Amino acid sequence: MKTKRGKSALAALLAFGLFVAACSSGEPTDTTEAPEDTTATTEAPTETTEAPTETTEAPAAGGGIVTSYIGEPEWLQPPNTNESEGNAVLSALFRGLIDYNPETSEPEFTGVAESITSADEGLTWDIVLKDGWTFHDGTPVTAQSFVDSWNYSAYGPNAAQVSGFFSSIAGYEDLQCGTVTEPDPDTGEDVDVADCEGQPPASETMSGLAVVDDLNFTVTLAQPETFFMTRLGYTSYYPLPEAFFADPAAYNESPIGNGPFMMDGSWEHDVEIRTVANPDFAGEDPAQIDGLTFRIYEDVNTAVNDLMAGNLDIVDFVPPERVAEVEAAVPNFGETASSSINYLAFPLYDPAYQNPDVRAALSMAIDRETLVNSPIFNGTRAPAFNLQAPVIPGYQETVCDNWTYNPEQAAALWESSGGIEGPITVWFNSGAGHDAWVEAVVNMWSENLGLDVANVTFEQLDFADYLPLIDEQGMTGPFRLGWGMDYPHPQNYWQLLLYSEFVPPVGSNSTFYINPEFDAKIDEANAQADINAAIPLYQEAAAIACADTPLIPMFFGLNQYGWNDTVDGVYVDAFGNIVYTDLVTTG
Amino acid sequence: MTSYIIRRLGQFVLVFFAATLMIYAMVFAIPGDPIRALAGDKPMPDSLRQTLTQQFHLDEPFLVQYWYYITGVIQGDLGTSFNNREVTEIISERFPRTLRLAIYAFIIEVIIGVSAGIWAGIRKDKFFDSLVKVSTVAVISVPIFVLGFMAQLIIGVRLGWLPVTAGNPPSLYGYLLPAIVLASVSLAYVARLTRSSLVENLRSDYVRTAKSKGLTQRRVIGVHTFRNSLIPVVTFLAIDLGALMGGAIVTETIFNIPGIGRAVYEAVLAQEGNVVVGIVTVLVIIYAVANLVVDVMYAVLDPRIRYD
Repeated sequence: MKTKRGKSALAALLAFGLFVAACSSGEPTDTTEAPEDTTATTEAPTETTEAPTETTEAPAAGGGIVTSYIGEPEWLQPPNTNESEGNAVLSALFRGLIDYNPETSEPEFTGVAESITSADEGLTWDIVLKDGWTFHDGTPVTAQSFVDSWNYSAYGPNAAQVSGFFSSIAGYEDLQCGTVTEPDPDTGEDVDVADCEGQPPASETMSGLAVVDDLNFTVTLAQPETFFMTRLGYTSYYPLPEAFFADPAAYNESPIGNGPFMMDGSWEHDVEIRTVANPDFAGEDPAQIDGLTFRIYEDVNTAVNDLMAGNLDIVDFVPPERVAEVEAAVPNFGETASSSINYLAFPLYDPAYQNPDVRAALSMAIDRETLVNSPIFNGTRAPAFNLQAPVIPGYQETVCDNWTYNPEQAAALWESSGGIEGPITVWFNSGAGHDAWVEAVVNMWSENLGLDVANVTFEQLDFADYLPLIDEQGMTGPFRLGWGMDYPHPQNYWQLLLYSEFVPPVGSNSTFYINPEFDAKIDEANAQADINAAIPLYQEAAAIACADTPLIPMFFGLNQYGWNDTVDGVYVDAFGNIVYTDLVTTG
Repeated sequence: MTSYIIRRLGQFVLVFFAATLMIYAMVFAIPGDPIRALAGDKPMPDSLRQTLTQQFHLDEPFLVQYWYYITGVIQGDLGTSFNNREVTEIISERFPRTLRLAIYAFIIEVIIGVSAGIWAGIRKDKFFDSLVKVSTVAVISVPIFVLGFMAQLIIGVRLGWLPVTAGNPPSLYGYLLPAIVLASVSLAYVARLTRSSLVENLRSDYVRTAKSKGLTQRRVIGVHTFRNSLIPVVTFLAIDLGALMGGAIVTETIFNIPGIGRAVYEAVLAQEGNVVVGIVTVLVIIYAVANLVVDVMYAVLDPRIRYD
């Protein structure tokens, strides 16, 4: 517990345990009859145990309660939800200004907004709402509901996790606390620290947000942003009812949204979150089931076992090592593209990694196709030859040669550039199953570049150690990072991960890649009001980045999910969320 | 005896402060910035990071942080987790589940372990004795996560004899399989300990005397051997009750019982000092109480032991 090594060992022990158990569980489950048998003998089906509340209307055809796997969310309120579990629940409880097409991820006006328009190429936006939307407590969803929500999240002293999402709105800075210069307790150097008590923010509302009337508000951005509309379906931009501001802590236990499902009782921590269909949902796609119960599991492997035994309807995230087992033992299995990518970043600030040929050689020496089909992943990942995920508009399968497998050219470049003298350190975060593939990558380097494996050391740290070190330019070799979209737009990948002004802590340009040519191309692309005009420009920017190889795209995530015959219409979108309104029960 | 117990209870206060200080120091010593980790791969604005850091006093020196913590504790406030949940609430929700699991496991352990041990001890070197010896070695040598997963997959998923998870609301039936798994290793120890202790006492002079007086086998074992054979077993059992609770992480995770084990594990990974210290301190107190109970039990089991 004292050292990082100790903690890693603890995590490794548990991970090993899961691994061993998963291996040993491989063969006994090839009898597909087992789940049906056990349904009859073990627990009663959930439909009977969860009597719908009196408030719901008579169950429609295909009604009933569906149970779905989830991990314990951190929060259940838009200002603080920045992780997948909370997002999943909120996506059932809320509907934003827009929504995304589950298959194409394109923005659709199936949310609260009637129209979102900008007359000046993305500097000011006029948002008109549809009439008749209400929160679950009966209060109307108005322009004020959005403006208050966004101001709350942006206001520094509220310390909302999603605060950064509002930084592009004019006046965001006025809502941040002032800073004082203090010596750092560790290093003694003078650093600026936020001082919310001594220097509270100048304002509680962003100057860029103005309510015109109940169904109309305008947003002024600090800089033009043509893709601003695309962002607005994300969790952070959901509206909040007045009940939230009265008591955010109480709200968190029983969140009131405006979506197709509403809470049935309070959040039973670590046990379950029950929702029922919202009879007053104003959208075009109401829930088709009576209710949805999120069963909270501490370990997804347990949920998979419950799924196989017929005690659970849906598991929307099957761990890679259990995919084969679930495919064999569970009646239905689905796989869709996700927006997530894993990549190896280079510390461009380190002298050893400043030669682009060295970086290109390391990238071209990796056979991603073989890696994802090896026993490490068993085809549960898709090889990445691009940084932006396939679900994002403007995706190309390959960007340039540097991000493809070419062992001969890799060896030639390694030779001509002189490679890397001395030891190489490869960094990754511990306890998340990255060890195996990172090791496989090093073996490929050794095979294709003649790199001495004895010279390579692995440094694995917890996130709490790892991330601050990345932000402080502390990496000394290739390091593993991941990304998933906040909104389906190429800008969310290319600019956030590689733009010169987006180095930490402003953005996630953790390689500290700085190329004015790339920046200019991104600026040009961002200025295009039409996404179809912007896409070729993002692709040109991508080609520039690929030629420089500040990072190596490794593989894209896939959503793997299984469900029992009790439910139909199960589909997991690119955000990794089930499309809850499509769910129907069978029989 | 009463004054002895009061004196021991007085020591608990000291144990409490020492335990909280030590655990707090250990969590403090973990390197890294837990606040930055909250954002994961995503960027975290500096102002947000600093506001949260100050809110949890993570920018203060160790003793100042501990002072904030301990003054809170004295006022009945164990602090909050990073997602703003009261630690007292987390403990009061999770602790009863772990306690329930541990008590079921304990009952199984005592009943099966002690009776198997006695039976094997009496029938030394017979078939049942060998069976106990072999099966306990087997159970002890298999790691509990393997045992747990296998039991769940075979008995729960494939055969469907017992529920896969404890369920909601958790039933006695649902807790049965996890309790057996949790009890299994300790049960094996209890059986072996009881057996060897009994075998040893059966060889002692007073047993020979009792036998030569013509007492029945039942009386020799029931009155003269059984009680003092239990002294090492009781010591083990009492310490084990604490160990069952602290060591239930794996069982709780496999059978989805949201008890304190998993909470501590995750709080350590997230470096949530308040949560770790709160829960571990509760465990420390349980250990201390269990120890006191053992010491008192000695006097009950063996009249030669007195505390005056």
